[in-house]
Amino acid sequence: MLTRGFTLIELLLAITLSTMVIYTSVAAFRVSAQTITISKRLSLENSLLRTGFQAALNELDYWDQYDDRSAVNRATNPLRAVGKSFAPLIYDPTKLECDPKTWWRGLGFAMDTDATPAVSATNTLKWGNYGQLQRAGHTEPIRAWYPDQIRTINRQLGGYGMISYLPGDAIYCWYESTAAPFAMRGQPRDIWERTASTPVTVNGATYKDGAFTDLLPQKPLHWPGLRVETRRYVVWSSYIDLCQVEVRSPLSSEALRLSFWGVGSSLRGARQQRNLDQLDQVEIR
Amino acid sequence: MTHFALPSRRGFTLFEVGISLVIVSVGVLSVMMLFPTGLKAQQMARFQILASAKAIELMSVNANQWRKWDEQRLEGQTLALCSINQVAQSPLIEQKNCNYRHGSLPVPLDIARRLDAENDEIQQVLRAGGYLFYSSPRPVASIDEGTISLEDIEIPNESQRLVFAYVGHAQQPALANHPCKAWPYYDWYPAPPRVSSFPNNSTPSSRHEDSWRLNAWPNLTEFLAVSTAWQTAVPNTLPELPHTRANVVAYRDKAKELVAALAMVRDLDGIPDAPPGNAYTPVEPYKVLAAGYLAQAMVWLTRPSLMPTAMESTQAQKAHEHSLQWLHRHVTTDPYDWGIDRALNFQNGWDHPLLQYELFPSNSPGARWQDANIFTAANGDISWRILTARPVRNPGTSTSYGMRSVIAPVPGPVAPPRPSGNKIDIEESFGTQVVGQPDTFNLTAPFQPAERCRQLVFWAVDWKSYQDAETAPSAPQDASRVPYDSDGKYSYHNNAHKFNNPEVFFTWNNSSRNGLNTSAPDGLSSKENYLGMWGADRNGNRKLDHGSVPPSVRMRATTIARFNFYNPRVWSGLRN
Repeated sequence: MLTRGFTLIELLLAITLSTMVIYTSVAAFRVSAQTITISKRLSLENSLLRTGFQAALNELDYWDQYDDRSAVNRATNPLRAVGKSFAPLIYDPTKLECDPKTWWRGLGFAMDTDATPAVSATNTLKWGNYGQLQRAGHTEPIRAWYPDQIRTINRQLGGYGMISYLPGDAIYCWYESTAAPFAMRGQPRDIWERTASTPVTVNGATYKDGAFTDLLPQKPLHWPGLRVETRRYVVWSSYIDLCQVEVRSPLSSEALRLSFWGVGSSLRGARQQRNLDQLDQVEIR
Repeated sequence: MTHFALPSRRGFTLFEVGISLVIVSVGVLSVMMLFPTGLKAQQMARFQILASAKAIELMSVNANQWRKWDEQRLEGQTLALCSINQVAQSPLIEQKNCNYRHGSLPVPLDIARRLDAENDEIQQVLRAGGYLFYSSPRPVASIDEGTISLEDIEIPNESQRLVFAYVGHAQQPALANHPCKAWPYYDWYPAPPRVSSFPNNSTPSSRHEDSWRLNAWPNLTEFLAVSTAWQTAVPNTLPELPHTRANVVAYRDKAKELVAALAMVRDLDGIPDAPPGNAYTPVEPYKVLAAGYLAQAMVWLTRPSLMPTAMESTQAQKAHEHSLQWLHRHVTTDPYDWGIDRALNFQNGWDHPLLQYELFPSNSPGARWQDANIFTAANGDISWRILTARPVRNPGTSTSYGMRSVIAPVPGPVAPPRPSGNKIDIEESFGTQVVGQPDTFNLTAPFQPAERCRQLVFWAVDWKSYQDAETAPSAPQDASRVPYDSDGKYSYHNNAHKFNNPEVFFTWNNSSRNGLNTSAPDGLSSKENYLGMWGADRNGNRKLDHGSVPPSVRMRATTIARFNFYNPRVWSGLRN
C-alpha cells in the first residue's frame, strides 16, 4: 500500500497558501464588516435625514409646528390667541389698487413725526389735520377702510400677519379716532422699512426662537434623535423660511444638521387650510 | 494472500488545490468588493438629499424679490462710467445667488480647472465664462452680518463637497435700472415743491425744479412762485419758525395760480377736477405735481393753530382726493414717464420700466454684436446703449448728477456745477431702435418656456482636500461688482452684498492668512484683500487648513443630481 504523505515542501506550501487565504478572508471579512456597519449607519442617517427633510418640506406647506392641526382642542393652540398669527380674523380681502378705498391718505412727506411721543403728538397736526382725510372709524367708508383694515389685522394677527395680509405697497401707519386729537400709530413705513434689520417673526419671538418638532419623542435612549426646526420671519422685506433637520447621535451627542431655506405656503395659505378667515365682503370684478 | 487492487485514492494535486483556492479567493474578494459599492450608494444618497435641499434653497432665493437691492443702486454720470449694477443686479440666478449672503460662492478658478466631470461638463461651463459654485459655509438667511449671528445653524460637512453649476445658456437679462439714472425714484405724495431748503428732508433736493427746467415743462415761472412761497412758509432755519396762516395761504394761492396756468379744469375754489379720460389715459406729470402742491397746502391750512374754517376743511378733503386720483393715474399708466418720482404710497409693477442693452444694431438681421451702436464716453469707456419698450418721456437728470450737483474729480479742483446735470448723457444713452422692433428689444417678445429653462447640476468632489483649497485666490469677478466707476472714483454701498468679492467675509485679510475680514475692504487700501488674492476660509472654521492633495492632481467629480429650472429675464418675486 502506497502511503506516501506530503513532502515538506508541499506541506509548507499548503500552510502558506492556507494562511494567505485565511488572512485574506479575515481581512476581507473585517473590512466588509466595517463597511456594512458604516453603510448601515449611513443608511440609517440617510433615512432619518430624508424623513426629516420630508417633514421639513411638509412643515413648509402646513405650518403644524406653529399651529398643530391635529391638536384635540385647536382653539387653545398658543398662536390662536388674539394678536397671534393664527387668531381668527374677519376682514375684507379687497386688494385692488384701483379701488380708492384701499389708498393710503396719511402724512408721508414730512418724516418728523416720530421723535419723542410728546413732540410726535404735536407734529401729527403740524402739517394739517390728516386725520380728517383718513382715520380708523371715520364716518365715510372710503376714509375708514384702510386704517380699519390695518388696525384690525394688526390687532388680531400681530406684525407678521399684518405684513402677510396687507398688499405689498401697504404703508404701516394710520390715524386713530380714539385718541385726541388724532394720534398717528407708527411712523409711515412700507414693508422695506418695517422689516429693515429687525426680523418680524411669526410667533413674535426673536428669529432664533423658531418652532421645532421632535419626530422621535418616544425613542429608546440608544436610538438617534431626529428634530426638525423652522424659523419663519420677514427681514429686509424678504420672507425667510429657514429649516433645519437635526440627527443627533445617542453615543457621541454629535449632531448631523441639514439646513436650507425653502418656500412653502404663506401664512395666508396656512390660515386658509384651517378656515380661520371670514370674509366680510366678497367682491366680484 | 490475495492482493486486491485498491481503488485509486489519489487526492487533489497541489496544483488543483492552488487553483481552487485562487478561484475561491477571487469569488470571496469579488463579493467583498461589492460592499464598498453599497457604501458608495449610501454616500450618493446622502449627497442627493443635500443637493435637493440646496436646489430648493437656490430656487427660493431666486424667487424672492430683494428689495434691498433697490436701495443700493448706483448711478454713473455717463452710460459707460458706472458698470456696477448691470450684471451684479441682473435677475440671472448665478448673479442673484452669488454673494456672501445667498449661499453660492464661486470655486477658485485655479481649482475648478482641475476638476473633471462626465462629458467634461465642468470645464465646458468654465470655458463658456460660467462659474463652478460651492455652498457657503454660512446659512442663507438674509440677515446682516454683524447685526445678527446665525452661527448656531450649521451646514453639514458633506455639503462642503458639493459643487454645482448652471448649465445652459444664460440669456440677456433686463437691466435693473438705467445705468445713469437709478429709476424708479420714490417719494411721498402729495408733496410740496422739492427744493433744497426744506428742513428735515432727506430726499435729494431740487428734483421738481430739475424736472421742470430740463424737461421744458410749461409755466416755469408759476412753478418757481409756488416754490418760493413754500420756502417762505417753511424757512430753512433751526429751530423752525412758526408757520403763519398768511404764509400758508400765500403758498396755497400760488399753487392755485399754477393749476390755473396749466389750464387744468377746476372748480370755483380753484381745485382741479379728477383727471380726464379713462383709467388708461396718461396725464402730464407736472399736473400731478401741481395738484399735489395745492392739496398739500390746503391740508396744511387745516392745522388747528392756523384757524381753519369749515369750508377749508371740506376743500382740503376734495383737493387731497383729487390729487391722489391724478397721482394714481400717473403711476398706473406709463412706466416710461420719468418726470416725477414714483409714489411710495402707490408702489406697483409700473414703477419698473423694461430696459435692456442694445446688443445688436436695429433691424439688421444677421448683424453681429460688434456692429451694435456703441456709446463711447469722453474718457474712452464704451458701452452698449439702452433699449426700452416705449420711448422714455421726461428723462430729466439723475439724482447723483442733478442740476445743482458738483462733480469733483479725485484728486483735483472742484468742478463747476453742471447746468443740466447729466441730462445729455441720459438722452445719448438710448439706442437707435425703432420702438417696437422685435429684433432688438425682445423683453416683451413671446417665448416658449423651454427657451428659458436651464439646468442646475450638482457634483460631489472633495476639492477642499487640495493643499491650496484655502490659499487659492478667489475667482475673478466681473467689473460690475466693483463699487467704483471707471474713473476710479470711490463709490458707496461698499458693504452691499450684491457687490464685492462674493467670498469677502471668508477671505484672509493679510498675507499671513491669520485674519478674516469683518467688513468689506474698500479696495483702495489693499487690492489683494479686496480681490481675495490670499485665499479664503472656505470651510468656515476660521482657521487656515492645508489639504493633502497636491495641485498637480486632477480630481474626478461625480454627478449627483440635475434639476431643470426656469430662469427669468426680468425681476420677479413670489411675494411682496
